[in-house]
Amino acid sequence: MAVSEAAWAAGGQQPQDFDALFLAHWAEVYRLLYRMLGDEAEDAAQEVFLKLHLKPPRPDSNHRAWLYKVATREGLNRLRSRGRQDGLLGRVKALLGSQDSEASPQASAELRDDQRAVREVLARMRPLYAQVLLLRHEGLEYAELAEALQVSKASVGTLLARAEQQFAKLYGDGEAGGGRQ
Amino acid sequence: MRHPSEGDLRARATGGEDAQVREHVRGCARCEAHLTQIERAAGLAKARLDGLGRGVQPNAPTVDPAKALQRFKATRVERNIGMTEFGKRRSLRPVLAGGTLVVALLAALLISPVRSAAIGLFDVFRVEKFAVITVDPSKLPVKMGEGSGGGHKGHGKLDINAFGTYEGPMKPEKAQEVGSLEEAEEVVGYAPATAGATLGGKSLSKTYVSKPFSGSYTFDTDEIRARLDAAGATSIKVPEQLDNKTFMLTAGRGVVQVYGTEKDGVLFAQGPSPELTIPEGVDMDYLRQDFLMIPGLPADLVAQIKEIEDWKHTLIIPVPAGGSSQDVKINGSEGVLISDPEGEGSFVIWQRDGKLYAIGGGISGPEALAAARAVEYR
Repeated sequence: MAVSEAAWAAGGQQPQDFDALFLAHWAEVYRLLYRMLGDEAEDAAQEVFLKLHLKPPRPDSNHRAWLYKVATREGLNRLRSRGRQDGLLGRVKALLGSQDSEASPQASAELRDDQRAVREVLARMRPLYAQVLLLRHEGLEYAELAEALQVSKASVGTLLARAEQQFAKLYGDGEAGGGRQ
Repeated sequence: MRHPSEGDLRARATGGEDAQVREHVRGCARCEAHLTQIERAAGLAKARLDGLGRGVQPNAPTVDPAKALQRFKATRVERNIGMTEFGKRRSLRPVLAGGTLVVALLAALLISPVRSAAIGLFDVFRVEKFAVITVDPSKLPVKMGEGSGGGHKGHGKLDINAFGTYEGPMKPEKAQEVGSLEEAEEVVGYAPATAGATLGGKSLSKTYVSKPFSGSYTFDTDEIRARLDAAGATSIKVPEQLDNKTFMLTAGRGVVQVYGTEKDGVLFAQGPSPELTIPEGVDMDYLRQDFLMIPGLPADLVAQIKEIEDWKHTLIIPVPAGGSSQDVKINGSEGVLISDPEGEGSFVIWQRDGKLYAIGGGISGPEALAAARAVEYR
């Protein structure tokens, strides 16, 4: 028996449960990662579902929250890795490549600049703040955010407020430094 | 009413209606200003994140869940149904080297330097004592091996982000050469100790001041789990308490003096003890237990760690099997002397009054010990 099947069986679940979860959540996970990463999104989304395949959360878990948590972490890790490995030039190329291959031709250079800037800010943010910001933007409720991020529901509002302020500060620093037009 | 929390203000800023909060803000200039700041930040973040979805639309076939599932099975599962095959495809080297890293990281986390201060939610640890454990990498539960070099990120190199997110300099910053210890003192802000004009028969040639270091690591237990599973190490328990926890290591400026040449000379290094900041929610005792329960961990390694009775005050230094070490006293301070198995060099490290000192390189053990005991503190 493959290890992943054993992992599912250990939780009292069947391999077909994985298929059902994949079909139910692929599109939203993929779309989230596409916004974060561009054309790297499918590889990243596959990595997320591979983690689900290898180590499913408990059957009584909120699988959607779990997937969003893992997806944002995967996306942020890739954004950070992209920044470190490729430098600014690589990031620009990656973004342009993404736009050239899949994006609408109407996407303006200004919009691309701004999207790049937002991704850079997300990569520089404290990971927990970036996650809560992205997950809330995806529509997760406070209870889901608390479960996904393993924080108390009462602290979610404060976490969001601080995340938004860090985002605004870093985004503003970029503007002050001439990073955006 | 007391000042509302940032969370309450944010709820108000994004349309939540709480009469008490509304009433308070109306009469409190401080909270009104804070609310304005929160509203602006929330508005900016929402607008910019909305912008990520504008002008770009993924291809419909990529989004289609049924087709995506087919591709997933073809590329990620069916070709890699067994974990061994899966591990090979993903390039074993980073995973396996990473397995060793997990052990090393956990060993490092067992550090346990003296809990010298509590700052807010964090515990800050500094080194006070040392213990050497010998580690034979070939006997660790996750073996080192040659990778296929295929496909996965890292391409045979250890990906520092394999187990979480590292933030900090990727390479040590180049030390600054100074003309004398006095000049070094001006830069580092403390009076460096002196080891004299010669060490191991070699003359003092250069003095450097190192840059301060600050780095953090945020663990991702899902990532660790997936990588261990992929390497077949499914029985190794990953401490859930580590998830999303950020450990921070900081080190102040140190002074390094070179005797003879940098290639085969002797170094005398000193600096404030590095500080390891442990985040709230991480229990080092449990972490140590988890580490000792790793299946397949060599019994002699477990025994060595268990022998460290005062582990909370001890920095554990892993040394490859074959090296020799002994506990030493340097003018009343705890230290350890480590000697190269080939007999080509040695290294002595000790602490005194919150600073770490080390002498090492092309020098014999007895000479290094004598030199350490002759260091003059100012």
